[in-house]
Parts: sequence; C-alpha cells; structure tokens
Amino acid sequence: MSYDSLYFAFFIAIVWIAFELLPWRGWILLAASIAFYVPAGLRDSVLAAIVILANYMLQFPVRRHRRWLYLALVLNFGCLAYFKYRVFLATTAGLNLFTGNIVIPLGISFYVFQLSAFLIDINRGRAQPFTSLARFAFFKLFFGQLVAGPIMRWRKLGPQVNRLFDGKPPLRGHRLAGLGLGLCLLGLTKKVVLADSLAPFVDAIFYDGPKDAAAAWLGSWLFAFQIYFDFSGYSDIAFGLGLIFGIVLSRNFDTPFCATDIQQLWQRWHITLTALLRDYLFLPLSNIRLLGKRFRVAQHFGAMVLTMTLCGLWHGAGWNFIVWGTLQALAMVVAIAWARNFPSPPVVLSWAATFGFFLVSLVFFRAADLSSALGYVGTLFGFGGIGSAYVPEDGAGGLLIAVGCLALLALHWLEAQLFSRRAMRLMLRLDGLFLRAAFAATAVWLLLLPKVQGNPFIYFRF
Amino acid sequence: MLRVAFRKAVILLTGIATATLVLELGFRVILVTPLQWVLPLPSVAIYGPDADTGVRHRANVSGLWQTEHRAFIRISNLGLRDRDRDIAHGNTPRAIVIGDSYIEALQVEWPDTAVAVAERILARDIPGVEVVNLGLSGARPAIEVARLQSQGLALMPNVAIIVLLVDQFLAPGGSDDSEFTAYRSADDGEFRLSYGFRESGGYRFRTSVGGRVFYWLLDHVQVFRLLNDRKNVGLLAEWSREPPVRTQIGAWNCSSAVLDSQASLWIDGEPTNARALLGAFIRDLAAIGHSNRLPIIIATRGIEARCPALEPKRSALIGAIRATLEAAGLQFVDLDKRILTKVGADGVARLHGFRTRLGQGHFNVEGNRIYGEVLAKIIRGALLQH
Repeated sequence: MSYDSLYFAFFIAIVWIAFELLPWRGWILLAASIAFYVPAGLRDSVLAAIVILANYMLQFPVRRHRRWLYLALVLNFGCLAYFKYRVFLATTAGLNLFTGNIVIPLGISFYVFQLSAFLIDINRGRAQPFTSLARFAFFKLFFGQLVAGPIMRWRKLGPQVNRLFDGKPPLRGHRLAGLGLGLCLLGLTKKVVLADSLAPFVDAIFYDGPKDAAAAWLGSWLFAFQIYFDFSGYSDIAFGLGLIFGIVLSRNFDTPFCATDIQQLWQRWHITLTALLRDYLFLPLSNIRLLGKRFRVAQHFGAMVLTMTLCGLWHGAGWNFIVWGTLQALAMVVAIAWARNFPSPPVVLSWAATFGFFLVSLVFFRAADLSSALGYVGTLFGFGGIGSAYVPEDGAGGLLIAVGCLALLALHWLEAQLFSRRAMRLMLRLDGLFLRAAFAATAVWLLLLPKVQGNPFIYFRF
Repeated sequence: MLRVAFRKAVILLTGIATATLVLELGFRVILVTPLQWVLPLPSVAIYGPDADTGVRHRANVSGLWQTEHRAFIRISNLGLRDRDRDIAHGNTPRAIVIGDSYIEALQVEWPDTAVAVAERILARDIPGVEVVNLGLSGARPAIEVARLQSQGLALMPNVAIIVLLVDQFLAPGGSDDSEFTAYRSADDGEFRLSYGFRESGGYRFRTSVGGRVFYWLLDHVQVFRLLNDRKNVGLLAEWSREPPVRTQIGAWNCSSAVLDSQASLWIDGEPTNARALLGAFIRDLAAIGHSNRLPIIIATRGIEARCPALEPKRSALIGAIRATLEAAGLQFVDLDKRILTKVGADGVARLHGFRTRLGQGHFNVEGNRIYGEVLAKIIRGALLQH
C-alpha cells in the first residue's frame, strides 16, 4: 500500500477505530501491518516472513556466541545480495548467470539492515531479544517504518513495542496524535503537491537529456527537491502515523539543504541510515587496529570512503550509485582536510559549495547509468549538450523558472521553521478536535486529487 | 451528554469546512498564477448531456486539461473542441472533421490540434476556408453518425470527414445505448440509432434543475471539480495503477490477428452483429450524404501499415473497405498508409505520447502536425473535386 493513496486513508481509518475500541492494540497493529505488506505480492510476503522468522530464532543464540551473529548476517545479506544485487554482481564478475531486470522485494534493503543492526545490538548487549514472535514481527513490520524506513533501532522502538503488547499506555499518551496528523498532512503536501509536480519536469530533462548547462542545472536542482520532498514526505507521514498510534519513530530528515558542510548534510539526510552506517560500519572500520598511529587518519578516511561507497551500493545495484557514494566520501575527506588546514570560508560560500556539490553528485543517483551520468555532468559544466531538453529562452519563462527554483529553497527554509521548538509548542497548544479535523480533512482532500500518472515513492525501489 | 456530543460534532464539521475553504482558496491562488502549469489541480469539466449523442462539449467552458499532458483548453461558442465561429459561413468553404479523442486532442492546445493545423495550411491557398473540429472522446460509429446529423449538418459543411477507428465495430458493447447513442436492432430487425440513455437516471438528472446546479458547481467550485474527478476515476483508482513505464520507441506489433478479424468483418460479413452495425453505419452516412449533397470521406485508422509481411492481406482488406464504401457513395482514405508514407515506419510511434511516455497514447504536438498536414491534403482534394 502506498501512503499517498485514498485506500490507505480508508485503511488507516479502520485500523484507528479498531485500535481505539479494542483492547488488543499490539495485535491490531501487527495484523494491520501484515495487511499493509501483503499487497506487495506472495513472493515478497513469503520472503519477509522467512527472514523475520529466521532472525527471530537467531536472536537467542546470537546473545550467547558471536558465530551465530555471523550466520545471521550471512543469511540476511545473502538474501539482499541475491534479491537485489545478483545481476549486478554476476555481470561485474563477468559471469552470465543472471540476466534481465530484477524486481527487488519491497523494503528488503530496509528490513535487512534493521534486523541485522538489532542482532548486532543483542550480541553487544545493547538490546534484549523479544519474548514473542508477535513482538519481534511487529518490531520490523510496523507499517510506519516497514517499506522505506526510518530504520529503527531496538533502543528506541523495542521498549515501545513491549509496552504496546503489555497493554500499557504509550509513554506520551495520545497527546501527540494531533501533531501526527499534522505531520501526515505535511508529508502528503510534500509528496502529492510538490514531489509529484516536479517529477514530469525532472523526467523530461533526464529522459530527453539537457541541451545546455542551464537545462542540466535546472534538472539537477529540481531532482534534488523532488527526491527530498518525496522521501522526507514519506518519512514525515511515517513519523506522523507512529504518533497517531502512540509510537514515536525516529526523524529521518532535518532540512538537509540548509547544511553548510557535507558531513552536516549527511547528518540531516536519511538520518537513520547514516547513523546505522556510522555505528555498524564506519566506527568499527575506523577503530580496528590495522595501522600505526601515524596512519590512523588514512585509515579513518579509508573507512569513510568504504562506508559511503557501500551506502551508494545500498541505494542501487549500479556503478552510478557506487560513484555517487564514493563522491560523497571524497567530499567529506576534502571537507575535513580543508577544516584542518585552512580557515573556514564564509557560511554562504560553504553552503553554496555543499549544495552545489550535492546537486552535481545527484546526477549519478538519477541518471540511468554511468555513461549518461558522465555526459550529463559534462553538460553541467558546459561541455556540450547531450539531448534536446532546454530552458525557455524568452525572458519571462526563464525568470519564472528561476523564481520557482528559489521558491523551493524558501520552502525548505520555511520547513525548518515549522519544526522549531516554538512552532511545536504552538501546535501542541492549539491541538484539539478542530485542528485534528482540519488536518485530517485537508489530507483526504489531497488524496482525492487524481494522479495524472502513478509516481510511487522513489525509495520504494530500494 | 447530548450537548457535548452536539458541540463536538459542530467543532468537527467546522474543522472539515475550514479545510475545504483553505483548499478552495489554495486552488484559486494556483489558478491565477503560473503555478497552474506545475501544481496539481482538478481538471476542467468539459462534457455535458446531449439528447442526440448522450454527451457533448459544454459551450464556452475553459480550463486546464491534465490527462497525458497539461494543456489549456477552451470549448467554443458552438460547444465544440474548436475556436469560436459563426454557424453561418457565407461563400467560403467549410469542412468538418468528426472523430474520437484523437481528433478532439485535449492533450494539446487548440492551435496545435490536427484540425487547426489543417485549417491553417488550407487557408494559405483558400482564404477564409474553415475546418471545424467535431472530435469527441469515446465517439463510436453511432455517435459519429448522430453527431454529423445533429451538429455537423447545422454547420452547412461542403465536405465531411469521418475519422473511423476500425476496431470500433468489433468492440464489445457496441449496441449498449445506456450512456451514449448506439445502433440497436429495431422491431423490423434493422439496426437503427437508439437513445436508451435518455431514460437513464444519470441523463435525467444532468438535464434537470439539479443537473444545472451540478454543472454550475463544477464551473465555479474547485473542490466540487475535485470530487467529480475522483468520481470519474474511481475512489480506489490507485489500487490498480501501475507506475509509469518507459516505452520502447520503434517497436510495433505485426500480428495478423487484427487484420484477420477486420477481413472477416469487411469481406466475410462475420460476426453478423458487427456486420449489421457496419451496414447501418454505412447506410446512414450514405443517406445523409445523398440527401444533403454532402461529400463524406471515411478516413480509417487502426489498420497497421508497418508490416511488409502482412501487406498482401492488408491490400485485400483495404480493397474490400474501399469497394464497400464507394458502392454506398462514400469516399475512402487509408489514413494509416498516408501517415506511414509521410513519416516512415520508424516515425509513427514518435507521433504518440509525451516525454517519458513517448510512443504511447494520443498524438503529441508533432503527431497532430503530421495528421493536420494529411487532413489538409484530403480536404483540399475533396474541395477541389466538389
């Protein structure tokens, strides 16, 4: 099911009524989460069930001995490798084992990462195994985080799951339900009104290919906001859904385009993935005593490059994604080296350099393959056009487009204000039946908008 | 307790009403700014009831059309997908083009429609010449005949072109007149135009005072349009919606199935029901042409012309169609062949669809231009001949 559909709104309404009226709240949300995932298809559902069951059984021995953890990780990442990367890996190795397009099981990248992190936490003594399969299944299957995150850690979600199944009231009661509805509305606005409206323009520029640098920059700029509105919209809805049912999930975005360096940007973009990669990949790789003290910096940088390259690969099985991830790492290395050796540039310049770099690197994320990405980047820097998409040459059209692009940035800034402490306090003060009804009704109105073409959430494909 | 419940209900309804007003205001702001070309909006409601065909365009309605491609459209003073015109046209020649959504071409602005292109081309040689667009989405053969009778003849044309999608005779529901005009078997066994929709609740509502209020709301309240849009696509439309598929340009189907079924219809007269529909269509057009001294050209569409291996079969079919129509006093044009000659086999797909859906759907601007040039040539020939 997709959050931006009317049937999902009906689904949530039914689940909410059952949740409010019946005593078995944990079971109701678990059943709803299963119902939410089942339309993905038999293969995806069976695979998810097998992975969850296997991880449930492995959580107990994992606590006792590390070898079980290795087995679990091989199982989880083996599944991911087979279902997401088999064609890429085989082709890269020069083997003709698998051919054709593969359909990636829905949410596999997310649940494999979440479950693996959970088992590692158990092994490190930072998490407790779940006492029942239902609790464990809900930990992963909750529809607020199942398909595209946020990738929840045990320490945040585990205790909430146990409270829910123990019949205890949520920690913050239902005080935050109004805020949850507001977040759902914000997320829907980002997705339905903004991301889906930008999609045709982005598709056109990347499909036709930019004719000149102006068109190339426009495409890249619009794509940056399209993917931001799309994924952060999804994450806002997920967060809001959690609050409606008394579950507090992790925030996944914190106005990343306001960041003034690349590390800060990654601390604000897909926060749960970044934190996961930091804690389970980057830090262990940095802290292994491989090299002497003199070379620790080099090891640190190496760990960074490896982590971000794998981050790129996590996003998609293609060289363009690997290059995208590596570029992020190299930018981080440059930023750190700069900070060590040179004075900080003015904030505006830092922001422009960070955002400009991100726009360029996103071309590798969006392009169909590496060669088209390189051609596109060439066009960005004035080395000839690769297609026919152009920015209107008459002054009015160009000016309107420029104003529109700046307006997107202004919206981003406005969003930062929406999440300020003051705005949150005001929101909680105004919360009540009127506001909740207004939020819910506006959300339903947005869902009623018939979509000209289906634009599924971009991160569903990962 | 009742008072508390009542108070809560009032607050709830006030919240919903506020949301509705905010949304209405938002749509109105979008509509008066360039944001209308980017942000989502409810589509304009251009269709209304018609006693002769079941449905027609509502005169002087304008707004954004968003299906396939965003275009600003305006329905003419005569209630056509056309520019405003006087019903009388003096001594200057006038042609009408009747067809379905391909001729209607809501996905492009009016000057880019094939009919408008044809008019511009012809006007270079024949000053004052008019080519009127009578395209209507979903127009089946029965609707095309009814439209020619009711709206086409009123325009006093010098020539009429009917763009006919040949599959229509074999499509299921060809005799269903519950929504639109259809050919049905009368008591004497003959197929005649039938108007069962006039008795339907939907039609009666749309032509009543309630219907007038309904259309007033559609014209003036954006959220009402939104509800109507949703009603048209279905409440759970997204359930079955597939993500956009990038089409492979240049591939086409060379199966002989379509040709075989058409050959059965035009040559062998099978199936009999479809043959009866076809017979009634030709009979009525011939009668209209004869009684009004109106040259009628049937331009067929949908007979694949890009398959050399099927050419002998296709030639036989085209020969049969030509013979059948000319025997009834009608003229025939093989539209697919003319387009193929103009753009080549590889160019046909590029006339359809937009951007990432190039190759799929209705004609894009280039497609309309090519069809416009072909139509201009057909009309010029007909005008010179008559």
